[in-house]
Amino acid sequence: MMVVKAGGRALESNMEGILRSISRRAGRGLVFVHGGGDIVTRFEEALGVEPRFVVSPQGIRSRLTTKEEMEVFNMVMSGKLNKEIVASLHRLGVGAVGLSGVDGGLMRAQRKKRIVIVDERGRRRAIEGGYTGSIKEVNTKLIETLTGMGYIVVVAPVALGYEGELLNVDADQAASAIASALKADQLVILTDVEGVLVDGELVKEIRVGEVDKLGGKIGVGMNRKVLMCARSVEAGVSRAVIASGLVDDPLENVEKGAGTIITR
Amino acid sequence: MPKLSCPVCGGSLDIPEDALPGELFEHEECGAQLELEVDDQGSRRLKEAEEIAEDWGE
Repeated sequence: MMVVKAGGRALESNMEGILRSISRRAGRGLVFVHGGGDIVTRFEEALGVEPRFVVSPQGIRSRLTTKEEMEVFNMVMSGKLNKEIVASLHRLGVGAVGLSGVDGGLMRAQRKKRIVIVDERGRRRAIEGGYTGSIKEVNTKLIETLTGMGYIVVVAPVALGYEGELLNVDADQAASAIASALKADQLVILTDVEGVLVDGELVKEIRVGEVDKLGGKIGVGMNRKVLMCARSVEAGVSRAVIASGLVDDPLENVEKGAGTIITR
Repeated sequence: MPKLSCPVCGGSLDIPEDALPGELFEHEECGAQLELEVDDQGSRRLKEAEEIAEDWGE
């Protein structure tokens, strides 16, 4: 089983190449998790919903998801993007089922009712959280049933909260949680750079025990991907790779050794 | 700078005038993580900060 995640930027630049690459590996059991935060932001602007972003003490900028924003987030992620990807995979000749984490309780998450941010004055504050969550459970049986029937499972990063609410979960977290729960052979995170870069140089391999040392040397967004990869490897995934989604055949590129491999 | 008392060790902390509700402070003497609370009358006190998650959305 392989879990592949592509962020919104990689998808917007190379949706055809990424999906063609995935479609060629359909028979092996494949889950595809998509991001798309920038596309959600554009729709929010078009609908007059003002996106609000917050910065965590670790320096990660993320969306403060209000109830109104969650509605747009769900419409774009679970609806527009997810179904366009499923339609494209069918056009490429492979069966795909598009689900959000809500369907069949695919991803259950704990809502973060209070969050810590760094405000515009640089001070740490606890504020009311939005509709974001930490994934606690994955319905592996549903995924295995669908992949066993030959479908690629396309997952939108929307989870089901324990009070029945819809929650925004970031796609890196979703891919890591799904790969971990499935004990997948491989987790591949496709992004818009060629892997983890330190001083402009590609790092070919990172051992889980080395992750903490990297913290200050790579950007916060990439650090988050590395942490999610390390978490999945610790949970039993054989290996995780962060690689470019911008090349013609991103998964073939990974098979040839491209990107950064995170291993035990 | 106004002082407030630490609810954990009883010591005192300097809290800036412009601190906002929810602002977090570490009491260096005892290491407690504290959160500023402001009630409807505007009076301020510190309470122990709950374990609070960081925000991870897409």
